[in-house]
Amino acid sequence: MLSRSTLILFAALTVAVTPGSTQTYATSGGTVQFTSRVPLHTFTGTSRNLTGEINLGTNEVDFFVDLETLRTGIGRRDRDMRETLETDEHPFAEFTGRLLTSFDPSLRGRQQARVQGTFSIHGVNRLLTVTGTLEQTGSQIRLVADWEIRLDHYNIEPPRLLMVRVDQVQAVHIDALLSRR
Amino acid sequence: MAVSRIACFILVALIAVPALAQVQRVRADQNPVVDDIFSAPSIITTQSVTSLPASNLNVTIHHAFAPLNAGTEGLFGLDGPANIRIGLDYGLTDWLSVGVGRSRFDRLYDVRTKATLLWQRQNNSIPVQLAITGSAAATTVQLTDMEIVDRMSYSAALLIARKFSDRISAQIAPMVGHANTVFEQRTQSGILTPENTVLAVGLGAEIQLTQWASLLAEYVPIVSDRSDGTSNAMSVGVALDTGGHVFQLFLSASPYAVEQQTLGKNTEDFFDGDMRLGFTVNRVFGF
Repeated sequence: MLSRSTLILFAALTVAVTPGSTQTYATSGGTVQFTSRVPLHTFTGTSRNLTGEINLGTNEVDFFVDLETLRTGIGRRDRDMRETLETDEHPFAEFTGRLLTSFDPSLRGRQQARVQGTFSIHGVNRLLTVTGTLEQTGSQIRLVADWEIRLDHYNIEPPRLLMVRVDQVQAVHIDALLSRR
Repeated sequence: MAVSRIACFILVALIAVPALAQVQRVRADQNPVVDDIFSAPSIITTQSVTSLPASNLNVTIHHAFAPLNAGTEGLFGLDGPANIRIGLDYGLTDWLSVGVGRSRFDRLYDVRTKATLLWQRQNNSIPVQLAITGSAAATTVQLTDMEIVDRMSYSAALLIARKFSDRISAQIAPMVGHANTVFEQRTQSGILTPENTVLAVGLGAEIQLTQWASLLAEYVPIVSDRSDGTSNAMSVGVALDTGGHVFQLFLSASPYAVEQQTLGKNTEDFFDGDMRLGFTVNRVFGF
């Protein structure tokens, strides 16, 4: 039988180490864009299903997007992209890491933010550091970040448009409004 | 004893809680639809169940040369009269498209629509894709005493298709063609009597050979009274998907690319060697 003081101690410790949910900001409708280039042509795959959260208490960052929700504006190209990314086997692009910089919600304007963590796509995990911005907008936080990935780093064979291969380097852009959870 | 158990529990909690808490990975669509059942919105001479996504414009050029049996003198049909249909189809929504086209034979202008009613689902909760198509066409051949209503013809079809595996798709399509005006033909063997309305069951299949190439086959048997002298259209071909274009190269026993003509007017028989070389270019633009 646990004594009352033991229970209080346990509860206090649990509260002390549990990430504060009041400092967690989450989204399920953020925007992700992958921009691909071929000579004389650029196209962008866009998804508005970026899902994830930032915990300002623990500095944890965790996001994912279902790659089957990417749309390029042409249905056939969407299908080709899904085949290239093998979304049946690897449906998500994911980033899990930590904020390396602090964020002060009381400050106005954009604050530079650096995160480091694991970016996963096509079943390959790679350590990645991304620089973006966080901005307090009312009760929400706006996250914007850009970085580039090389397809061969993730064992993705660039698709062809006619005889021309899509560039190895893909620009990634995310833009999300996160609400306090 | 109790105290050590509690201490142990707290220690586990202290170790476990700081681990990165991952958001649960959930698919946006738990039961996605099966991707393009056919590589293009048409099989060869008839429409496939494949739909155009919203805001996509598909430009098609369908070209059927003269019959191959023209021999070397007619360069196997390349020198003869070819039928060409130039068409535009546009996806108003992901399930509804409209199109216009113009064929050289009969100087035919057509409008058409395709509506997808059901989408095949990957978990087989819906095992087939279902679409309806409709077409209205007017010939502009110079004929006297023909009002516009006399020049009209129509077709409608129910397209039922299934992708059986990553490689094999098939379609069955009950269809009807109707021409407001038909003409008797006097031949050496007598008078050929045409039918205004003809029913058929279109059969089509596509077999994926590689990521970019597939085989096509199409057969359109008439199942009602038919116009005298007509034959069931049959075509075989190959589709080459280059990423931006789908090229279809085919041998077809029909010069037509509009269903009401294929059903009511085709006089060529594949097995008698009435094959025509042809191609269709499909190019999709996004807006």
